[in-house]
Amino acid sequence: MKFHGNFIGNDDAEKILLNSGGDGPDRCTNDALTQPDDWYYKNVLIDYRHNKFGHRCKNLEDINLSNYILFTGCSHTEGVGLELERSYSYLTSELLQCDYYNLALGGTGIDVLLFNLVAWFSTVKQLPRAVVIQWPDESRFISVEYSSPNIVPIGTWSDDKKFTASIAADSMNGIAASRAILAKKLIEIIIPCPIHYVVIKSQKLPDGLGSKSTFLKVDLARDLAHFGIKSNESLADELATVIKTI
Amino acid sequence: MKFHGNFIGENYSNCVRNNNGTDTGYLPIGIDIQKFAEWNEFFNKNPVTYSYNKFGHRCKNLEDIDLSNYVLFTGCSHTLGCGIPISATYPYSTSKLLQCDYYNLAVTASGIDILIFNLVSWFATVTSTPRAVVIQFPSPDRFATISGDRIRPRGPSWDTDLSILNSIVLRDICGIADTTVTLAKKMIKLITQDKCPIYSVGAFKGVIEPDSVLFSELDKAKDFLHYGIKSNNQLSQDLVKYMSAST
Repeated sequence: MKFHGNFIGNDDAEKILLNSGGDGPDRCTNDALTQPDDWYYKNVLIDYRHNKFGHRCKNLEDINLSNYILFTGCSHTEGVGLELERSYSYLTSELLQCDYYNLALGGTGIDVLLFNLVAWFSTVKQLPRAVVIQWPDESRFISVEYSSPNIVPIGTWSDDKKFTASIAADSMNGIAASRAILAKKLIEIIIPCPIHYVVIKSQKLPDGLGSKSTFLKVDLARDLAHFGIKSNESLADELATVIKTI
Repeated sequence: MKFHGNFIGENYSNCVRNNNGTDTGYLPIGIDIQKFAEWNEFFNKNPVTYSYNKFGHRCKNLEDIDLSNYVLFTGCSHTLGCGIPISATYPYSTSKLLQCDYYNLAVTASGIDILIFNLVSWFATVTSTPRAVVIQFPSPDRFATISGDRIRPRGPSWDTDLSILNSIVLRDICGIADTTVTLAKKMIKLITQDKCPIYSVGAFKGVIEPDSVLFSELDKAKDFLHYGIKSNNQLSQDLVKYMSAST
């Protein structure tokens, strides 16, 4: 990840990649061996196009800011393992016949989510119809390297012992949960339009998270880790119904 | 600390107290009275009180501030003015020198997480831009833990909980403390949008901002730990000079 202008985004802004997180054609080739012959992803190419801020959606200046939904979250919302057109953010905005912007970034936690939301509401004056926030794992954080622009996402996948020790300590001491409470309160202060949360089943959440939908695992994406096509369709249906009533 | 509306403030709001943080309300024991006779006499005669507004901040209520001409201050106990009367604090005397009003978001023992919470909340809810923002960055190894209504300030100089101290060390090793500073500085730029100048005050040399206007230790506050009346007065003069030179 990197700082791109006012935002934090993917390293590879304005590039088309074939890999994102754990997903990519090589992994797909291996996974195909364990899947049925008619596995949808056997011969499907997924490309990850990031805009100039490193986000997986159109550039800000191409968004219809008079009628849009703002999405944010981690890889589940970025749509890792799915074609863009299969991701729930894309599908929800299609159902609502409006535009959307997707601030989500794979591997990120509440710190990046809050940073990008503060950046959005400080610099983009047109308010979205609604903000959909997929609450990330509260134990995640970023580390900004001293002498480089690189931002390293840290999470339970990290194999560096100092990071795993810090995650465990912050979780045990309630530090991670406290970060989440502060972020949630601040998000609700800075966002002057309806907020709807998306959560993963059995995920640890701060108290009082308002209107929310649970992202249910109906099927799996190409990387066999993230939620698949049907799961995203189902969530998009629910979100569209909720947002229509706002 | 507590949530009060959109802000985090001291535990108490809308009240006057005679203690705050390291200022217990009494003169510390074990001080060489002869060496610090003037200090002792002053604080014996002039009790320090802490008057908190409805958000638990040591200043007037928001609705009583002249939002057309004010400076916004934030920081920790050094900016709240722990151990000195409000009229001796550097936010008070700086605004007097600048002939404007001020609001003081500082919270004792707070870290950058609370500082950012209050600043972001200010700029999201108060539409009048301040004449300037003065930020005294607290030590980056501080943070808050929250349990119910209770917000506990955590820091290496007062925490005795070994598991918290372990977290503090790990956060430093992992670069979390430094990252917090980087993100905070960027967020401050985002929320102020270059609409007002930002000045930095340093309680200690070399902490966070290299071009800070620093406190000079000319005397001690009542708790014998924070900067005293003369030090605060000198800082406000230095700050106003720095502000004039940079505009």
